[in-house]
Amino acid sequence: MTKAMLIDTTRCIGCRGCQAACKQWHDLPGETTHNTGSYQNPPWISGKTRTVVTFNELEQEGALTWTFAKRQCMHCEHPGCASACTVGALRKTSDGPVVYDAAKCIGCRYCQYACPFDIPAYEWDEVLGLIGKCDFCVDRQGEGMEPACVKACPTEAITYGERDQLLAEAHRRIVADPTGYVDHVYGEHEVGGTSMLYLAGVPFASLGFPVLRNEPVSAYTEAVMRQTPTIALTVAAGASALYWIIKRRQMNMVLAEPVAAAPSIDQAAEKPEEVES
Amino acid sequence: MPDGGWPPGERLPFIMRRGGRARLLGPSMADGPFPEHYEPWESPVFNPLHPQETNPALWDLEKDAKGATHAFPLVGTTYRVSEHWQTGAMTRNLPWLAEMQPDMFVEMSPQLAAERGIANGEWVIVESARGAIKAVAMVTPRFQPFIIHGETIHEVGLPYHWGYIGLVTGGSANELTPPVGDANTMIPETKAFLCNVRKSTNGTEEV
Repeated sequence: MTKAMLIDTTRCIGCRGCQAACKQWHDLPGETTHNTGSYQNPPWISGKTRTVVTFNELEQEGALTWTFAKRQCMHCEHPGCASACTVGALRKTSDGPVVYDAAKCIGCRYCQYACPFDIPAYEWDEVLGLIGKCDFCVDRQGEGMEPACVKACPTEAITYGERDQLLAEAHRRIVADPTGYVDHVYGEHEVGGTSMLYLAGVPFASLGFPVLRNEPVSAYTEAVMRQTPTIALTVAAGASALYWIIKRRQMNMVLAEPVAAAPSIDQAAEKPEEVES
Repeated sequence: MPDGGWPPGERLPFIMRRGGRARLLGPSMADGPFPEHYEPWESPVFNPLHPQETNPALWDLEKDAKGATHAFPLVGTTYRVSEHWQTGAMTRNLPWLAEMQPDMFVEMSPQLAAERGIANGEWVIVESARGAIKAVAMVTPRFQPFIIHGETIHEVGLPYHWGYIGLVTGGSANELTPPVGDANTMIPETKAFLCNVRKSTNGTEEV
């Protein structure tokens, strides 16, 4: 059984207690930010910010809604980041969290390209930057505690528990209020399922959630990554062959030229020497 | 339910009254005994109920200027955000809160922004008869113009948490608000006043 979080955006009041609690537990510094015409700040997840509440003003059928969606690592069942990581710094644990080992990370940022949710963030302001990412408070979970964001949430917009139980609860809420929710639990099937499950009253695409297929990202990345040795060897062999051909042509051209064209050693020796005083 | 730690049904809600109940007649009130509607000290509209525009008993310190509607046609109001407390003297020094709400801002409707040529996220100047401050324009459909007596009246909203010392600093809304107070409690009338918003010629313009 894997642990999961159910994030009900219809219950979120946008207080951002989760954002501050996350920084407090992980001892992360505050960023220097500016107001960009929205309450949302920092604008997105960064090397020093692992969760961000997005503020979405949506007008549909003449009614205005202001929906807040806490975003962080989705902790995929089949994480694309882990499949792309060349050094095994990212791995899915059997309990649910996708964890990151900074000691192994070489800062190649392949995980950023492999993640469909734009989550792994690079520390661009560090000389030797690493990746920052939500760790689902794996240390707190190990002590039997809920994640820091769940603990801080005053409206139970975030609930923590077993994935199958939370899925059942999500479907129960949709059935109980079919007009209040869209009939979709985001994360149930996306990219093979994720440990983060979302409910919303508006379509997920309008909240900035990517529309994804149900096949895991690793199905694509691993097919490509497996080709890496073959492609590398093919390119190396091709380049070597090209080098050999060009060198051979150059050698043939030098041999074909008359020897007199080259400056003779005798001419160089005729240069008058400076007289020492 | 009263505002306090009591379980429901144990106490009546009006805890400041001996009986715990509300009163229709309010003896000892400076502006009683019956509730009455008055326009704010600065208002773009007349009082439709009777010729007395504003509360005659309000605390008017008469130290500062009163704005005229032609110069300051917008209704201004002030409020708080959950990230900051009061003038922000403590919360603006906490990095986790300062990063969430770093700059003084002014919220306005898309209609008003279009009228003034203001883009979302740009620095603007908010001014009243008493002062002027800089703020980031937050253009949002959450603000909509009022239609009062057939006239379009725009409203702008300002948080009041910024000041000149702290990790993050910014214009104080108290520079704009009027010097009058409630007739009984003297609580300042910061929730309704007249102001104007204009584009800043550049982000560094001093006010």
